[in-house]
Amino acid sequence: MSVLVLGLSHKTAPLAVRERFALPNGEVDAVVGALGQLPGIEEACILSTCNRVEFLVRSESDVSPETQILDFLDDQSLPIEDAQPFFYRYADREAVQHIFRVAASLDSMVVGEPQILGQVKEAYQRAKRAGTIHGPLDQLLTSSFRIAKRVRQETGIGQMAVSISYVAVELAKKIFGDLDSLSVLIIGAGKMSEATARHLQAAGGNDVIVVNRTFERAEELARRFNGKAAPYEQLFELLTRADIVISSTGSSGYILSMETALKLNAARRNRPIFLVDIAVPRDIDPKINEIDDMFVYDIDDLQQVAEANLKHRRKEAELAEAIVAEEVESVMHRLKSVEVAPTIVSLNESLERIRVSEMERFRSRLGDLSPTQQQALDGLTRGLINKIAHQPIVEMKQMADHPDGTRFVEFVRRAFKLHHRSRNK
Amino acid sequence: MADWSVYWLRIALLLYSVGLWHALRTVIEQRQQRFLAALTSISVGALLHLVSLVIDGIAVGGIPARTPYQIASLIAFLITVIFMAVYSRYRYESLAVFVFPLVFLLSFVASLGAPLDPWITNSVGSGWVALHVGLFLLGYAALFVTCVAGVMYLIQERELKSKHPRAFYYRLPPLTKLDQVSYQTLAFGFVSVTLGVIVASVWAASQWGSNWIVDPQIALAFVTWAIYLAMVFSRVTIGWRGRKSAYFSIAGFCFAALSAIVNSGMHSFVER
Repeated sequence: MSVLVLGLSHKTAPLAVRERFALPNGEVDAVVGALGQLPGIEEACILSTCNRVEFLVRSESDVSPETQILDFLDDQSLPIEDAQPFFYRYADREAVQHIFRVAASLDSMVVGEPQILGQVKEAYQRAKRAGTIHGPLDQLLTSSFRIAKRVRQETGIGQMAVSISYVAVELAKKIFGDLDSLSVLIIGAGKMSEATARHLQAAGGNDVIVVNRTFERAEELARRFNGKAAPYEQLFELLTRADIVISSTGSSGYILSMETALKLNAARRNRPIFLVDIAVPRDIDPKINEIDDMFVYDIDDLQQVAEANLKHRRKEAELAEAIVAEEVESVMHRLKSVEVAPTIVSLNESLERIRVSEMERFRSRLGDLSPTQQQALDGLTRGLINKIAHQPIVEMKQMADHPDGTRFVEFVRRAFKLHHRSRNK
Repeated sequence: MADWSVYWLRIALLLYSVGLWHALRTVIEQRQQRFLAALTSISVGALLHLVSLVIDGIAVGGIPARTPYQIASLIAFLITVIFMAVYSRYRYESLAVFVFPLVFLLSFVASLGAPLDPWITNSVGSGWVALHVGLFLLGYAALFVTCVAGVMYLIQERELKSKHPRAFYYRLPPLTKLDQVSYQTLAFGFVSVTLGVIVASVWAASQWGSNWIVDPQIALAFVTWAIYLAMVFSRVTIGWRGRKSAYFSIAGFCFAALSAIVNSGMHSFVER
């Protein structure tokens, strides 16, 4: 058995190449079905996202299916000529490792991002529907889901936010704990504030109030959040009640000065407030951060936290790599053992078939045999085939743990002309 | 301390050290799963600790708080119990890193427990004393947790204000929750200490009239109680919270600890 991964990703290919190669969702089903039908290819799966396109196949033939796949892709009118230098190929152990790393989000552009696992699962489902996955590849992919989950549980790889709007949510959690009963005030109806507020709402923050210089736009944004709009004149009053404030107005000066903030703090009786200032130029005097219980983060501060988090993730990624290495080891071992057992069975069956048919052939020439003679002949022939099969079986069992095990099993299969008990074509 | 009591305590100590080790690793490496091991060791340790305390209690016929060793052992146990109560509600592992070292240290000191002559005097009604001492120690243990939450609050607040997240930022609980833990343990501790003071006053008044009030140790104890009263007052009435309360609780606890050390012996007027 051999597993091959052929693909290109954000690490090897520029966007210009990737975008021409990306398969639309509608086409993947047909392509993976056709790929699985190629002679010599037992199983196939296609992973196509905006950051990577990968072809995963298992073949039993002796010739590497690589050229076959490339020809096939050429037939699908994909720009093979231009893309070929960007392709990477992984075989067997390396292929297994690659699949695990991709699913665990270790190969992602933003290490630890959670979407990739869903995309791998979807690719698996498509291949399953197309009937191109039914054996070891199935096991391999389902293992990859389990490993991805394990990595997520045992390392902090996906824990810390690395995008600015998520960082704001994470900081809010570090200040308030749960966001369930908090009220969010949005000042200015910009795009950024909308994204941040949306994340906050998803994390549990409810009760959104929008203020804007033009009341209509405030109303429009508020509708999208199931929130309320309020006139700009009520700003101070609203600030005394809000827990989280997201400000992104086009104002040229501060809309919240130090002086107002001090008054505000007194009015709030020191309840903590988290002020997120994503406007450029800034809306909130950064000095306000020095007041107790008032936390001001501007866009650079959020960026800074995001970078620190990314560093944190990379450290966790090292741990994740160790987990993947461990899992690759155990899966490789299992795959080999899985192969050894059926090979032994089919070796025994094949030799027994030869014995029986040869006995049939010589039956007439031997004439009438007494039951004792018949028994002796059976014993003799059985003994012969057992002796012949003994050494290959012992070797195969020993080689199950050996890196060259697969090759040896393959050799035995060829030497004795054993056929795969694979699906019926 | 009774012999068997010390043996059990030493086994408990061993389990505490295992728990401390796992708790430190939980927080430093941020592996949540590891904390289960810490929690198990600590719980079993606390159970054996209780066995040790009961044996000791039977031996002295009351609350075993008559030698510094016994007091250390009792406080360690109470702190563990309060930690468990707070943990079961808030699930903050990082609290353990601050609390367990003290539990370990106190149990360690207690387990050295070379038997001392307990201060048993006939004039001390053991029931009243037991209640008085028990309530005070429970109060101190709770206030220790208040103080720890205060320290953690200050660290986390600095992390958030600095905008450069470092190791602590990732490991400490949210600010508001720390404040909440601090407040709740303060309230609990304050009630215990207040009841302890009332019990002691009523009983002392019935025994010695009023001249015990001028005793300097007693005065110190009252000042401690007054400080805690002020802490509760500042929160409830003035509406202090967060940083100010954190500083206040740390200062208050330090003073209380000082007063406890000075007061740990039998009061001077008892012999009179």
